[in-house]
Amino acid sequence: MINPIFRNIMRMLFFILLQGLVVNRLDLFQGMVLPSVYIFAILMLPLETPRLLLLFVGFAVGIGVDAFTNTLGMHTSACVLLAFLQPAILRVLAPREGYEFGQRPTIQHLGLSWYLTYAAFATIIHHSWLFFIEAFSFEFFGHTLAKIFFSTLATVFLMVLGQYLIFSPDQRKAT
Amino acid sequence: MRNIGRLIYRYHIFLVFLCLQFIALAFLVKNNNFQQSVFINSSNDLIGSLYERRSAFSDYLKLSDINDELSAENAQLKSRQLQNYIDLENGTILVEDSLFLQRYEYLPAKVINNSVNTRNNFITLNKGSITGVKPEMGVVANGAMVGIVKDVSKHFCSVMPIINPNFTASIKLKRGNDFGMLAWKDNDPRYAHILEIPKHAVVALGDTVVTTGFSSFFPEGLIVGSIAEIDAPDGENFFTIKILLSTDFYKLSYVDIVSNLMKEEQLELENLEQP
Repeated sequence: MINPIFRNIMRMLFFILLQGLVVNRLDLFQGMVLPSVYIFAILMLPLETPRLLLLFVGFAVGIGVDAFTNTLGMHTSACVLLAFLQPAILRVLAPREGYEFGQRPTIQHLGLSWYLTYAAFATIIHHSWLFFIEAFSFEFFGHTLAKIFFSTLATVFLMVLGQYLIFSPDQRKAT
Repeated sequence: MRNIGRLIYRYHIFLVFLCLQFIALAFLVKNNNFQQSVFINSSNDLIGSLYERRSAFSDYLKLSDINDELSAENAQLKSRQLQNYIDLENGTILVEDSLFLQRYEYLPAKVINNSVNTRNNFITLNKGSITGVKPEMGVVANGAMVGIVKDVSKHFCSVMPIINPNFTASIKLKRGNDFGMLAWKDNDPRYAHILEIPKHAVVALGDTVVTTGFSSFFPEGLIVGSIAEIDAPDGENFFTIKILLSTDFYKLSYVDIVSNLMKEEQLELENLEQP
């Protein structure tokens, strides 16, 4: 049994490196599809994470990703926004009887359809903010909208796929 | 007083959010500036060494392309060897003379990170201040313009390429010597625009665009690209020209950093003219 704090920190470092060294290299359809899989590290945080901590975690993860792309502030800003709104998304999507203690925001705990809604909401918020800041104007409005749409699809797809790959069936039964 | 404290406590999450968001946006605005830059970027040693390690892997996959490039260059150099030339005038002898003074020096460097698919593209090279790289040096690849060095650390430097919206350079048409400005406006890394070419200039599709040598970054006559689209909007004095860049940013792997040995002299002289 590994300490959950340690496990969450390792997961963050892993996803920052994955984003910086592998995913940013993907060049799909001339930059039209640019997934940001690192937000998975923020979405995976336990439901009972204090909001203040969540904000600082978002800030740190954003800085880490920005260091790789020379865009200090861009991912940071989008991540802080996501970290601020994530509890609200969770509240809206809560099951009727509320979350059970120890439940985690994953497909295994809350089901595929719940997870798809959760991931789609969070990713659209993050990507919209990110790509509009990147364009820094509404000049390429159509282009930016298309980029948000396709990148969101890619990110959600990768996050769902990742969960089926990471968790073994045994682990699903055990929890 | 206690009420204020309670109010702050009630909204403390939102206040912290606003603070962090403000810091992030302040970073962004400050970092966009060409001169100022904070040191959290890909030219710092940690990220640079990570990138270098990754490029050791990915270079392996690019070996065949690099081989082709090298053998093409070899063939070109071989064809320039003296024994391949016919002596036209027996009797003239080439003498090393003092008429020419070297003005530009080239330092080879390797691309260890390269982005083409974002708005603010950057390139990281494996040469730094230890080998004499300084900010605002030009970068070329196979005789074509690539970009300008922005930040330098001990072993690495980051380059702002043509395909970054903050990049500009003065260029001219090889045919008529008309001057213009180079700018990257679309999101396509294969093309760029040239502005401020007057309508009376003679332009044709496929014309070569070269550097002027006015700025202290690049030597004169360096290839930038060839004209791909010409547009003459009504009511304006200038053409809008789209050019196909000579540098293929998708395949960039080895470049040269140009240092201008007379840069200081030129800048000093030019500063004299300004009050």
